[in-house]
Amino acid sequence: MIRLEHIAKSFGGTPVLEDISLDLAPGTSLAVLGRSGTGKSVLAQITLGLLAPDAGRVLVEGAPLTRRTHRAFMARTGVLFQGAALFDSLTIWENVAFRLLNGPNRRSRSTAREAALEALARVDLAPRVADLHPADLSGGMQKRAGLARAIMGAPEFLVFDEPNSGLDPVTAREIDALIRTLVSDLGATAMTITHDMAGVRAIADTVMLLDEGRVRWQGPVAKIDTAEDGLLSRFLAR
Amino acid sequence: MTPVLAPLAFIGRGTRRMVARVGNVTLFSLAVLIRLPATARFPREVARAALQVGWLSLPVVGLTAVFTGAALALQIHAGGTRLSAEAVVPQIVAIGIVRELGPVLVGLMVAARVTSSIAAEIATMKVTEQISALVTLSTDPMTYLAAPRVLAGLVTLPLLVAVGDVLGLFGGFAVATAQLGFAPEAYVRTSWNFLTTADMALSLTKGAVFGLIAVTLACHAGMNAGRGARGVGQAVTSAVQSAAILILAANVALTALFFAP
Repeated sequence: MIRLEHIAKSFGGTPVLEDISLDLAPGTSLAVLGRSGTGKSVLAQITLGLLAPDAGRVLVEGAPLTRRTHRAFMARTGVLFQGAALFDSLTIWENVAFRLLNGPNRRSRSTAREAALEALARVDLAPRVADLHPADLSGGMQKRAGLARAIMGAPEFLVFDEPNSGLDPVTAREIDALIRTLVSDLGATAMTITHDMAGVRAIADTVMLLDEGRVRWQGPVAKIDTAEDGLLSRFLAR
Repeated sequence: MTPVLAPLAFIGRGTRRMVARVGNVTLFSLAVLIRLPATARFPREVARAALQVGWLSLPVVGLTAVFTGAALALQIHAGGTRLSAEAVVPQIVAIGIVRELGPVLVGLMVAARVTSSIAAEIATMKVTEQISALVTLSTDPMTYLAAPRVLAGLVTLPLLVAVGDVLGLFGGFAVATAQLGFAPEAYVRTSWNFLTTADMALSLTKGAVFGLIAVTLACHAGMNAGRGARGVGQAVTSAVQSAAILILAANVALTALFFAP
C-alpha cells in the first residue's frame, strides 16, 4: 500500500500541489488526469521520492519514505518516463538489463542479456533491436524499450509518466494495451500520469482529476461518464 | 531602498551568490571524492571515462605541445640573441615546458574539449530525465556518473601532461636542431641535466589538480543544469569558464607552493 498524506509543493512561491492525499491499494491502477501544468508529474516525482514535498509525507507499507528506505522502495519499483529516458551511451539490452548489470544483485553479462531479450519480447520488440542504441529507435520503440526496463525484476509498483505522449494514435493505443497486460500479468500497483482519456479508459481502474494543484474529482473509471464535473466532461468530449 | 544603497546591495547579492556557488562546488567535490572507491563497481564507466578524458585528448594535446615547444624555442633564441644568450634555449625551453606551458596548456585544452563535452552530456541526461531514471534503478548518479569521470581526470591528466611535456620538448628540439644550429646530442643532454625531480613532480601534480578541477566542475555544472536546451548551453559555458579560470589560479598557487623563495 502506498499512501500520500496532505502533500503540498511550491516552486518559487507558486503553489503546484496543495493538500493532496491518496491511497494506492495493492493491485490497483490509478490514472492521474489533468491539464498541462497542473502538477501531475510533480505528484509522480514526489510519490517516487525524487522530489521532497514542502508538506505532507509518503508512506510505503505504513512506513514513511525516507533517504534510508528509498533505495529499497526503488528496488521494488519500475518507472516509464515521459521521454523513455533511455541511457544514450548504452545499447538497448544494456538499458533494459541495467539493474542486473549495475544493481546490488548483479548477474553475468550473458545472463543479463538473456533476461533483457525476454523483457524485449514481452513488449513486442525483436531481438535485433537489442544491440542498437536509443537514438536508432523510433519514439514508439523507445517507449517499448523503456517499458521493458520498467518491468525487469517484476516490480510491485509501476509509474508511467505520459506513456503515450508524442506517439501517433495507433502506437499510443498499442502502448496502452501493453501497459494494461503487463500490469495485470505482474499483479502490480500502477500510477499513470496522463491527459489522454482513451489511455485512462484502457489502463486505469480509478481516476484522480487534478486541477490547479488540487484534487477536483476522484472515482472509478466506470463512473467518469456520469460524473457531474465540467472539466472532466471537457476531457471526455475531446 | 535609497539609490545610494542600491550599488551596495547589488555587490552584496553578487558576493552572496558567489560564496554560495563556491560552497556548493566544494561540497560537490567532497561528495565525489568520498565516492571514488565505489567506482570499482563500475569498471566499464571508468574505462569509458578514461578513454574520453585521456586517450581521445591525445591528438589535440600532442599537437598543441609540439607547436608551443617549437614556437618557444624560436622566441627564446630571438630574445636571447639580443643579450648574447642564445645558448640558453635548451634550458629555458625545458623549464618553460615542464614547469608551466605543458601542464597549463594540457589543462586548458582538456577544459575546452573534455569539460564542455562532460558538462553537455550530463546536462542533457538531466534534462531528459536520465539522471532521475538512474535513481529509480537504485543507482546513485554521483557514483555512476561523476566519480568515474573525476577518477579518470585525476589519473589521465598527469599522463597527458607527461606526454605533452615530452612532445613540447621535442618541438623545441626539432626547431633548435633543424633551424637554430644546435647539436642534437648536446641539446638533449643540456635539457635533461637542467631539469630536476621537483620540476617533473610539479608538472605531474599540476596535471592531477587540473584534471580534478576540469572534470569536477563539468560534472557539477551538468548535474545542476537548468531546463531545456538553454540550460544545457548555460551549463557548458559556466563549466568551461570556471574550469579555465580555476586552472590558471591553481597554477599560480601550485607554482608558489613548490618554488616560492
